[in-house]
Order: sequence, then structure tokens, then C-alpha cells
Amino acid sequence: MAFNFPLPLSLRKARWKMKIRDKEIREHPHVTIIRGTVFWRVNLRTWEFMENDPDPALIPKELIKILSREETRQQ
Amino acid sequence: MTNNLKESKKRTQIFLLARGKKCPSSFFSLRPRIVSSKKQLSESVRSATKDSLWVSYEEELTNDLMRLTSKSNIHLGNGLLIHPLDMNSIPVLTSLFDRLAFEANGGFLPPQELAEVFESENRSDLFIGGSVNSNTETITFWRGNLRSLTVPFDTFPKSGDGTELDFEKCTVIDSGLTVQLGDYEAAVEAILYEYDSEFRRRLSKKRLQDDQSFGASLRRLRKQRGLRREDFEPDICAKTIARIEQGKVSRIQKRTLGVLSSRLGVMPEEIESF
Repeated sequence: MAFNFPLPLSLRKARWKMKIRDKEIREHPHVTIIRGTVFWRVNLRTWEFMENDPDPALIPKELIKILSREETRQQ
Repeated sequence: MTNNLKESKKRTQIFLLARGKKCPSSFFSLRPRIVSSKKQLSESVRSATKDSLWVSYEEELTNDLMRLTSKSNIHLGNGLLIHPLDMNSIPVLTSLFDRLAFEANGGFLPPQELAEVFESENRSDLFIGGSVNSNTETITFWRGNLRSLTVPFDTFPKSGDGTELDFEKCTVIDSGLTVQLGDYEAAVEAILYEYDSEFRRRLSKKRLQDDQSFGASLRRLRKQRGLRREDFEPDICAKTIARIEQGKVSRIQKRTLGVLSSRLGVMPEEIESF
């Protein structure tokens, strides 16, 4: 089952999503951050962005904080 | 990615066949020509090119378009029909449009997301809708450039938690980035990676360029210097170079790093910056 991270209303309203899908390209396990047709992948082992393009700086700080909290919780 | 595997920036002329409330305002950013009468249809046919995109939310207008063009052997570009369709119309429509996407057993993205896909430079790597055929156990997806891709049901293996796949509930979500089959979700890029060799090549190339690991930097620098892995022998064997480049060596020995830096003509700490 796909896992959608619960996000605050402000981020949901701005169409941000953060999810782990059932079928992905077989690479490192990752979480996908989505907004519209653009997405970012974060490695679930290292918690680093897997690509520099698109620029991770485009992601709101609020969402980055949620990601960091999740990293701490997992560790 | 997929995100940035960009297509041509050329703006496509869109003809939006819709009337009244059915006319989706989300398309307005694409500056479409709104077509809601026969008169406007005939004007639009005259100005259409092979690159035009016809999006119809109105069956009656699609039928008028077929009648209007029946006496002339013209190509209108590509067609996307978002309304119930008489299957007898398919032969006529396929001779009219170079690429045709239509509602069968499934649907398309909502207008806002559809417009977003058409606006996107990587629209060919996004899905706009899908149609399930239970008899053949296949799903045909429409891509943002209106090309289709048919894949078998077994493209979607059960997930680790045993989630059942519900093919009856197949929808494309996340502005064309995800296929949903009930509670199960699949990344569109994972499907394209399996079935589109050209996409696979582009993605692999991009991912290699983006990879920030030491191994990837070493590989880029080695290629830039025009060296083969064997060129480091006998000091370092080609297999070891391959293992370092693939990230399989967690700690690189000082001596190895020294040989690499001297052959590549850079300081050891500079390798990672390539």
C-alpha cells in the first residue's frame, strides 16, 4: 500500500505531497516529494536528495522540517 | 525527471472544443482557441497545423468536426476526446488526427492537471490517462504527447505488504506522475523505464550526471581524461575501478587514491568535485 505522509493543510493546499509508492525504479528506497509535474527523491537510507535538479531549495522549509523529523524518528 | 528531460519549448496551438460551463478555465494559461460553434470550427480547421492539439469536452462538436472535414483529406494534428465516444467514429477520427486519445474504459486527469501536463516541458514522460482491458489483461496509458503505451497487468507486482491491486480502479494521479490501482501506487517513471528504451537511456544519462557520489565523480573525471578502467593497471585492476565507481568500496586505500590522483592529474580531494 502506498504511504502518503500526513502534511499540514497549508502544504496540502499548495499541492505538496510526500509519499512512498509501491512500485518504483529499483534503486535505493526513497520517499518522493511531489508538486504538480515536478518531483524530488530523498534516499531513505542517507536522507539525502538523490538529484540536484530540480533544486531542493524550491521545497518549502516547513516540508523540509517534516522530512528531518521523519529522519530523526526513523533513526 | 524525468523532471527535466525536456522537450521542445515550442508552444502548441490548442483548440478547445467546449461550451458554457463545460469549458475548463484551467486551460486558459495555454492560450487555447475556444471553439463552441460550427463557424468557429471551420475557422479553426483552416488554421490548424500538424502540430495542433484538439481537446474536446463536447461530443456534438467532435461530430460536427468530423462532418466538416469529411470531404477533405486533411490532417488536423493530434486529438484528445474527453467525452463518451461512439466506437464507429474511431476510423474517421484516426484518419483525421495523427495521434488520438479517447475515453474508453478509464478516464483522464482533471482539467487543471491536464493543462499542467500540456504546459510541462517533459509532457511525454507523464501520463494523462489510462484504459483497462480486462480481457487482454492490459492497460493502455496515454502520454502527454498523446502517444500510447500498453503494458500487461503483471507490470505491477504485489507490494511487500500484500496490497491487492484493483485494476477496475485504475487512475492516473499526481499530474501524471503516478498510476493508482486501488490502494496500490506505481511511479510512472518506473513503468516508462521498463517499456521505453529511449526514456531509459535519457534517464540513466541524467542520473549519472546528477550522482554526487565519489564513484560517479571518478567515472566522470576518468571519461573526461579519455581513460579506460584498464589504463590504471597494473597499479589498480580494472575490476577495482569498476567497484569504486559503482559505490561498492566504502573505504578507499590511501595508496589507491594516490594512484588515481596522479593518473588523473588532480589532487586527491579534488576528484569529488568533478
